Amino acid sequence: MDDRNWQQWFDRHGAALILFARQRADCCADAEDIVQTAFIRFWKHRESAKDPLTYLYSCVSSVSNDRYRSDSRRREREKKAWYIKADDANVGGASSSNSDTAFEPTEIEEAMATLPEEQRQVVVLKIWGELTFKNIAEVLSIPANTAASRYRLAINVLKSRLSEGAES
Amino acid sequence: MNETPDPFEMRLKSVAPAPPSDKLRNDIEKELQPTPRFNAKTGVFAAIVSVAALIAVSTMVDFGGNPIPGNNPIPGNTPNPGENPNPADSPETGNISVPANDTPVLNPEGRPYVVPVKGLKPLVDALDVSRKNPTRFDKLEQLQEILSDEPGQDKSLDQIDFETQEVLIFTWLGWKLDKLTYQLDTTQRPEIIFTHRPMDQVRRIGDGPGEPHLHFEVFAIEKGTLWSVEIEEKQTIIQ
Repeated sequence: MDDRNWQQWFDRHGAALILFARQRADCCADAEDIVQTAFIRFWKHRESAKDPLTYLYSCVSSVSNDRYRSDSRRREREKKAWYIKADDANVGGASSSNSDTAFEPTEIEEAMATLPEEQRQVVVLKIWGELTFKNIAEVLSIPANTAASRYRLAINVLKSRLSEGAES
Repeated sequence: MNETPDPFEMRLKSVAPAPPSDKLRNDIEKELQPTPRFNAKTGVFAAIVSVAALIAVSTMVDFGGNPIPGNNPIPGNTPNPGENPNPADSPETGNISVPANDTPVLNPEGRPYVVPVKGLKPLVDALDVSRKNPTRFDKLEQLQEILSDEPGQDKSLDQIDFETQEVLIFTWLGWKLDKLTYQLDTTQRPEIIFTHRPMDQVRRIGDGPGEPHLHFEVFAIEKGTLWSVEIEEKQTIIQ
């Protein structure tokens, strides 16, 4: 990937960034606003970042936190703060051959909606953002082991919810 | 260390997040477009060069919103797609016998059968988190592979003699007051019996629902010593 080409970065990570932003944002439009501000900040300062990908997600987290603090409307956020489509199955490097066994987007959305926000954030960063626990810890300013425990707890819940859905 | 992605995580990952809208892409493009500046010396707008470059670059990429497939671009930041496989040998579980008293017992060579190792911080995503099966390491290199990069761990590694000892790491997700204890049963062949005492969520009046903790305990045991794991029934304490 050409480091000077922002569009390649955006194509590669844009969808996961939006998904991450939506864990706190009221709606899709707000999530896109957050990503826009964060991405521009990232692009202007990326060369001074030790790990550009972690910095990119940190920018989204930081912009999102600033908004959350300053906007009281966030108290009445939509319950369903995220959304997934199945038609871009190759985003994130996943093989399209998995699509036969893939979950329905609505199933995942419902299962994710039962998780607390901090667990959803970790799941998004790990699964779709492809970050390591160390990088997730940096993005969310939490210890790596806390990130790992939130992730494992969330995955256990998702496994249980999604298998229940499959049986019924 | 080889990593085998967890099938469940792969199934989750195969469902993609919705792509960003074209509006967002266009807005970012506008913001990142350089502001034209008049260059008095040459009499041309420096921006012309930038715009030309932008056009040239934009012809190489897909504006249709389709992501360009490819690997993670950041060298040294290899994605971690899921659970790591156990890098060490499979654990061995001996027969569970009656726990003896907890007086430290030395083997005929004068070394303790089991010693807790403090100060090691493993990378939790490299370990099995089931309560029952600790991960066993009989080589220093194996253990080093799964340690975090926190400073001072070399000193803790010095406590272990891999000539005569092997290491068991227990990792589990549980509540704060979970305990893992051990006893040595010497009624027959010496056997270390590890006992998990899981607690139900502990709440104090006025507390919220709390968050489970990731526990890890590290033990150096004499090579060849039998060991087993017992799990007590979950206990509930309300304070």
